[in-house]
Amino acid sequence: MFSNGLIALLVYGALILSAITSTILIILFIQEWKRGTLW
Amino acid sequence: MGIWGMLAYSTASIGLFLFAPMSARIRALMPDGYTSGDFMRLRYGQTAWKIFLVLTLFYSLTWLVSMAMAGGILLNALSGIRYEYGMTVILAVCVIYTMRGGLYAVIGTDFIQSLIILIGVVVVGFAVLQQVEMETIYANLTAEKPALLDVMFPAAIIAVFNNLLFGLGEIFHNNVWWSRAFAFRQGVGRKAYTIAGLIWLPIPIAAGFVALASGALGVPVPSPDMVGPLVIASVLGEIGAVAIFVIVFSSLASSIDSLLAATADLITEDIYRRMWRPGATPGQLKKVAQMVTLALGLGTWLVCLPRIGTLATVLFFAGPLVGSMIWPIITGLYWKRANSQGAISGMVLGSIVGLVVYFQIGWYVASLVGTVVSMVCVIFFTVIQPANYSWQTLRQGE
Repeated sequence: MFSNGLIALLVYGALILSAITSTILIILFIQEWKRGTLW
Repeated sequence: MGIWGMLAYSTASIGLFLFAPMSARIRALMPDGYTSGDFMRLRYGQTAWKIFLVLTLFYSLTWLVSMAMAGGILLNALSGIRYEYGMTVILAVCVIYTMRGGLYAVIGTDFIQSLIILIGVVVVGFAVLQQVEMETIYANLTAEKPALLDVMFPAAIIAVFNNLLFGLGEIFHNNVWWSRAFAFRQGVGRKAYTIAGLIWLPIPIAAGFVALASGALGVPVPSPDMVGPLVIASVLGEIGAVAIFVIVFSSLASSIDSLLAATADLITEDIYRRMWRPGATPGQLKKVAQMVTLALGLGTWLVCLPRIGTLATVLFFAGPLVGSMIWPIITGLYWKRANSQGAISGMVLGSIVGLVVYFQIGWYVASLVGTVVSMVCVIFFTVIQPANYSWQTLRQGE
């Protein structure tokens, strides 16, 4: 059986990674916009 | 498939990580390339190219149908909108903006859709954890559905490898990914696909967790296709129902529009221009691509009207075809010795044997077998009849 701890690690890890990647996407968007290379 | 299922779907990110350096090589080898079909034609010749076109078009249409069906099913589950109406609306919206804006509009909307999905996943995940504790979910699963937590679940373990190969095959061969590798500015592809891998990695785990929480939350689930959206609508109430509507729409639209654009490009470039009208002007090609997009949308709509089966069965049917293309693509990009006999036999035998296995054993092993058979064919012909391919041929085009 997968343990509760391992599942919690996977779930919290996934949620935190999603939060980080969404922040990276927003930063990249702003960078490209400022550089004028977005469109 | 429980926890293994979450991990299995995450393995598609490995395909994206591996495609990052491949996209740089594709662009370096074919600076004026346009479709994945161009590569197969120039690398392996006409026969392999035509077989590739049949396999990739079949797969792309299967994916398109499964996504449109998912739209109808999920919108029906979430809001009671009739299946036919939901499916029609999502297809129509995607067809209209893909026809108007082409790949440019598709990439732009994909970015926004990805952001919506990511933020949605984070918000929903933490909202579920606010309502029910991890221990409660675990206790409920242990009592009600222990198989979902089983580490030694053979079919689920095989499915991890099957999904991994499905993901590799899908990303390595499909024009959805190749067309972007060609379109990106130099140096962008590697970065973009690496970030895409990071973005995809947690999504199935977070989404799967939401589904696993359904029992502890007491949400009745009529079909596995609907579990996630129903849990979210239950946890977040009315706002959640609207939010999940947007997230689901974004998820499906981001796949449907990419498939429409990439498949329309493939048909326009590889079939219309190469086989029918070599002298067509860019303006004519653009018009044809728009008409093909419309035709693809209409065709998908007609196939989707009767609900064929569950989403997984529809999509995984194409698994062996996709798996059988992994080795011809990788070896074609990196081995001068890889040859057309290996590519042709790999794609044909891998697909046939994989499909036999799909029907005789199950979907969870079909891509795996298709890939292995294809690998044996490619390596066998590379060893007994090594070619000495000139990479210049790819650069020069004709």
